[in-house]
Amino acid sequence: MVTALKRAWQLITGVPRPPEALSPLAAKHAHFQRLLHANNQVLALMADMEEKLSGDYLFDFQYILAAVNQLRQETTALVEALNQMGGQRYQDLAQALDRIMAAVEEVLERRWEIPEAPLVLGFEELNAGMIEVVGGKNANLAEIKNRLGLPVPPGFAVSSYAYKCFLDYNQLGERITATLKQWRLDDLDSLAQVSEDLKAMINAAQVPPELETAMVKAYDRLADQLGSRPLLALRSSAVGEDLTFTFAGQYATYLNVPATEMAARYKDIVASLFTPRALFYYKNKGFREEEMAMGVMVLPMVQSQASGVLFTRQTELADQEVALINAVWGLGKYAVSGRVYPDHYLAAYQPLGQIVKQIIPPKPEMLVSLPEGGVKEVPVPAKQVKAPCLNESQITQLVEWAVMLESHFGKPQDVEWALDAADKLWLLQCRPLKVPTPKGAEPRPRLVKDYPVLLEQGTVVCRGVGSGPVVMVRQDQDLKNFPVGGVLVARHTSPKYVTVMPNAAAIITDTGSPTGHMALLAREFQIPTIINTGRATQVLSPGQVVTVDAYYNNIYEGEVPELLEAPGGKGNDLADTQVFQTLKTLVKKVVPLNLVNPQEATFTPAHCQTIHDIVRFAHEVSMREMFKLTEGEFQDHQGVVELESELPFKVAILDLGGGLKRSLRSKIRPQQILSIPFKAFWEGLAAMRWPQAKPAGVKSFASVFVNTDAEGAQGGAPYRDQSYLILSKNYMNFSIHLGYHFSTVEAYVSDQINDNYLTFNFQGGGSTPERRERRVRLIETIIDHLHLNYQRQGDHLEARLAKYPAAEMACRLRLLGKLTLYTKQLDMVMFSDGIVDWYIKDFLQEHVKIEEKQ
Amino acid sequence: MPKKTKVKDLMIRLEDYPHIPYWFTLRQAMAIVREVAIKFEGVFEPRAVLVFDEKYQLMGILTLRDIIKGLEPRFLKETSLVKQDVSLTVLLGDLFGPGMKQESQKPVSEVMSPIKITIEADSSIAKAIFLMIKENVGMMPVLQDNKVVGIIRLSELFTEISGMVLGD
Repeated sequence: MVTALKRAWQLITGVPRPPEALSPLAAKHAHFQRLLHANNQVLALMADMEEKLSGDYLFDFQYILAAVNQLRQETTALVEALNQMGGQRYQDLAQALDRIMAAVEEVLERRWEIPEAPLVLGFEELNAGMIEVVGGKNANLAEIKNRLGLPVPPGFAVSSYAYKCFLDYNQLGERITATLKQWRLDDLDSLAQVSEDLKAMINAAQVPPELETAMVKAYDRLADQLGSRPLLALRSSAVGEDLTFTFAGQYATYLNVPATEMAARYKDIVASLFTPRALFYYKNKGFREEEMAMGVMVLPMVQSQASGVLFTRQTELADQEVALINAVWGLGKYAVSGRVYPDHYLAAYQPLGQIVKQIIPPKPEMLVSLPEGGVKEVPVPAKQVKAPCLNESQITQLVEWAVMLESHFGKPQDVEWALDAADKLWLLQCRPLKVPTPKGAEPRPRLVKDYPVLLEQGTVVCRGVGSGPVVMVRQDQDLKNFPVGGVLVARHTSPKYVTVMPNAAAIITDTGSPTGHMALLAREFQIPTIINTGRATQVLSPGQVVTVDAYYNNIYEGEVPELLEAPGGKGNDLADTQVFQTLKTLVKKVVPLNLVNPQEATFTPAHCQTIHDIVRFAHEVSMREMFKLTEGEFQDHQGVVELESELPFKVAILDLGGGLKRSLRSKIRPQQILSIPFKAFWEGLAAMRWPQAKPAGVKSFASVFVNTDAEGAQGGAPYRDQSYLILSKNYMNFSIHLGYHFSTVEAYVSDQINDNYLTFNFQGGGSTPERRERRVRLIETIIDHLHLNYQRQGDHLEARLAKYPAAEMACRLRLLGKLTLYTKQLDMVMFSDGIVDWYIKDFLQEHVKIEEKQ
Repeated sequence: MPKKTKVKDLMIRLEDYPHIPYWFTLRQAMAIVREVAIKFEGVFEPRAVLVFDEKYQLMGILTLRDIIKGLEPRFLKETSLVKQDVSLTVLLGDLFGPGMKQESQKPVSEVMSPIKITIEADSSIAKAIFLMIKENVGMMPVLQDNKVVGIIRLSELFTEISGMVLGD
């Protein structure tokens, strides 16, 4: 009783019922729509993840977590929707998803952990491999001291494990993580606040007693070794610092520190992890929070008369063996801070130390250490102001070291040096030098002159430049024998192109979606790809050599060497970070597509290896499920209305929602159709000449073409075939019985280009097999003109089109409507191949071209 | 032996004969006739197209005469006038004007000739000749078990008879 009332109320008020309460058919459709929605979300997510791997974007670990979460949600919803549609027959897909998600989670679990180590280590215990233990600066400097025997002051390192102990001792770990989570890269406003909060936390914290003791012990050992109690230099040595990236100047350095202040300065250096600048840099470079472990380098202060920087290569002409040295009086800070213009020397490797060029500007100020600790700026003594800081032998010495360092590390280094009061040179820091790529720095002109531009519109989905002869791909079979280096040109995107991607120089399509399967694959294979050019298949011709500039969206005739010589991909700074590697590993478990061809026996859940496979499988199968709507299902349904028109159809309509403008009558007039796809289809039907009522009084004779008695029943009631139509706002599924043929048109048309598709099935006919086949050939040729993908077997034809914009879909539906009527019993007249050609020409001329003009 | 020759031996099988659904236009029918001339040259010359309904029941025959008449209705309307003096056809004016294109869009069912007479497949050719002369038609549908199986035409009958008369 209550249920009945509720239902009645819902009917009256029009409140949408939840899917369970709907008729089985409407529920199926609702699930289908959910599936389509989820499918789009997943495709967009995958596109985004791949895009991040291009190296052009900033992202942090939070991004990955969020992406995986969303991926899990949407894919689960998608599989669930499919199971709802298919009567829970796809449980194995749910299992496949669990299996794949487990692999994805496993990648996320692989977290870096701070290795357990002594709190303090002497330089003699270290080498370059211990970056994770003591940070990059410590490890590198110890390496050149121990392995190369270069003059490095005897120092010690406070380990990253000490940092962990410091956090644990003060119970800061979780608080830091929580605070960091409040800020994302896209929210710069909250950055300062987060930084303040974090620094305050560190300042309020206590250095654990055992750490302080360890530092003091190490200092005492140092003092014993030197025979004096030196002032100290404390420098940050973060784990990520100096590794691949130069966090130059991001973290704190304290010079001339008395031993008693060691613990306090240690805290200050740890706090410098969280300055806004350092935080931004850290996140920006894609590090994970737990990678923000700070080691500290402690060196006895070198009381330098001069100091500076040595680049083992000058950066402008990195291919020449010339080192760059700059120098200032006093402490080295002024050499990099820009407080004074430093001396500038270019010195060759061969002959060793020969000065290629030198500039000695006046250096009126310098920074010096104070005996009681701290530093101070003082004027440079007059006779020194204009004098060079280094003599030739010192320069030669530095270049000699430069040669050693470069050969040891295999790449250019950025070194800090100091000249002490006793004229002895010391090395205080050594890190990789970033040499900018000389080429590609300035943007190329948008258009290269002297080459005809064939196309300059479209959507770039994978950047790059490729050149080669045009290979038109109209049907799947065109993919066979795809030549190496060919430029694939097609009307629409298709994941099936993956089979030739390793050979393709570029891909161009008339239409398609940038988040579709093919776009993802193109990015995976790094094929320069431009889609949505609108008319590439018309403008380009097979064999024509073109150059595709998928940076600037231009397609040139011929080969454009200027474009092809330019660097394709630039170096990816992020590639070595943990976050980047994690995403890369993750994407491999998500994006590659293995289930390419639905016709293959391996198109099963068990063969799904990635999320992409799951989505592809579900999407394909869901359409089959929708297509399976049978007459039985249909007739069981309450609320079927009839279409009232002059056309020779008996059409029973089931509206799943939004497909019809309802009235009280049980018959629906064509004007009441709201369904976007069916409206278009109907327009096509209505525009055609109808089989009018037969002339009265004409005697008819059954013919041998009719096989059964039922078919041949003479003088019966007006022959009207029962057709079935399922509608919603964006959907139509029309099973058409017309004469002796049976066709089905199914379509989904919305503003979501990824969702749009149409299928067209055609079978049957009352005429001889040859004639029926001729008719199918006619349909085949015409739908080929409409750019549909099709397969034909005998007189059965199956065609599909997906991912076209709504207007294009509507245009094709109109033409299919026309074609449906046009071909009504057309097989009858198809007595020769010549007449087929005539009718093809007739339809194209009378209908397709007119439609195209509009 | 001629006595034993039956209609079914001389008829053209239905599937070999061009046909068209009744709602098709004259324009489409003309395309078929022209195509037919190309296809059947040297075999037989169909001068008509069979008209069927959607149940593949034969409704009528469309001859060249029907088509031409259908294209220019004034031939019919003004016959009485022209009958008095054929030279008055000049009054008909633009036979090939825009009106004709428009007329070519009308369905063949409007201009086809209905089936006046049929013949059984096992009938003798004498009966066929008699019926054709009597009904003044050039061709007849041939029935077997109440179904149309083919077409018998005067020209095939003529070939047969002339063989007898000329004795070769």
